[in-house]
Amino acid sequence: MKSLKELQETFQRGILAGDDAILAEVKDSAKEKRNVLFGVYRNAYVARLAEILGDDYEQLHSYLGDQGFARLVKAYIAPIRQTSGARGGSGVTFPPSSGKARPTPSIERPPNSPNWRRPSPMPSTGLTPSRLA
Amino acid sequence: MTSDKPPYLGFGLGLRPQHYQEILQGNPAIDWFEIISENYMIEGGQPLHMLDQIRERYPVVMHGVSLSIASTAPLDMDYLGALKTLAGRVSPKWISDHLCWTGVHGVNLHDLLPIPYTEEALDHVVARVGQVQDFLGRRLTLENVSSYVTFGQSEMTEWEFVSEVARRADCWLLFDVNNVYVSAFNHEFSADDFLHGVPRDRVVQFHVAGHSHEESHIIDTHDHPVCDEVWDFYRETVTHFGPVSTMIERDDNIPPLAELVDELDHARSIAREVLGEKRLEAAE
Repeated sequence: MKSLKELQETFQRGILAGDDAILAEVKDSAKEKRNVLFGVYRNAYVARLAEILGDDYEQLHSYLGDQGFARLVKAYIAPIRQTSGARGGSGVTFPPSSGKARPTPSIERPPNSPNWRRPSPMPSTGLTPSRLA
Repeated sequence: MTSDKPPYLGFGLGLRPQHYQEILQGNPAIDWFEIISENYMIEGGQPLHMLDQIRERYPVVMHGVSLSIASTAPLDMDYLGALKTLAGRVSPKWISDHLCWTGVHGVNLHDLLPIPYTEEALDHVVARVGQVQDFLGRRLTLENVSSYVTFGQSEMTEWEFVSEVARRADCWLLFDVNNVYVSAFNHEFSADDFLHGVPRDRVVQFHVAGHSHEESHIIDTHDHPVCDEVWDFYRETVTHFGPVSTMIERDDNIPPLAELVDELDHARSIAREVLGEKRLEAAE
């Protein structure tokens, strides 16, 4: 049996890096498979990241449109998901031209940002997880 | 350490920036407000300015989302320091957060992640709650979260775990009516078993909220009005616990304040119907 620490590390890798090892630790429900249920956490992470980017880069989103912005978000998230299983979660940042570095994958919001929001099955940017997948 | 049971406050709402002006200009019929602690853990600016004005008129409680009480990462003392500073400014009636973890290795996933209900996790959480309570100099209030997976290694039910945390750590509980409903559906346990399984004398607050139904599972999104099934369970909850400070949570698709006040009135009418006017008034 995994220790609590090992279990949390495995769970986090499952969200950030798409590592399926966590699926050995969780159960199917009577109505749904475990990969779908664990996917709620994965999708929420991606959706939240997309939402934050949509909020912070509203004009860019408006300029590129939903599809163009979705492609940009996908490109931004891809290296995070590849590297963020590593310890420390060191940052991928926006290019200097954006004028804004973001400590990822912790998706820190500035403290005076709008209200914290609950996990959402669909990001409010209009970027659905399927379009980001 | 402050250990008196928090007072009954009546019927409250989550304080959201969209409603600041309306609240200050209209004095709506809301008994108290719950703030998201992290949104005010700053040294100045408009949010704190508005909060200062609102707390002069209404009781306020603090509700956090980043304590990560069940994480195996070390407690974030900077976070706790900021939380304590904010509490010194706001004088909340109580401070709550979630019985969950939000990340390890310096990562905050900004999600309320589930705990395996094991003796190891119980010991870990109880010890951490003790540390936090010692630091804050007051009892903490912990909320049951919605969850989407269960762990093969769990050794007890969620309500047994929650109850043991409250008893051993000597903390209060925030009974989230919607979260019990959601997790009961997702994991096919009886919401009534949960309701009757937690110690009544520990519960100081109810949350009521809306969710998103995905057919095979429910997601706790707080972006819809409260549904009839959750109102029915709220009725059972009030019948069982008696008068407990109740709050409507809405975090997305936030409607005009009047709509939330209407929902709050619905909660109030259910409690009045179940408990009677006199019992509610006596609790105030």
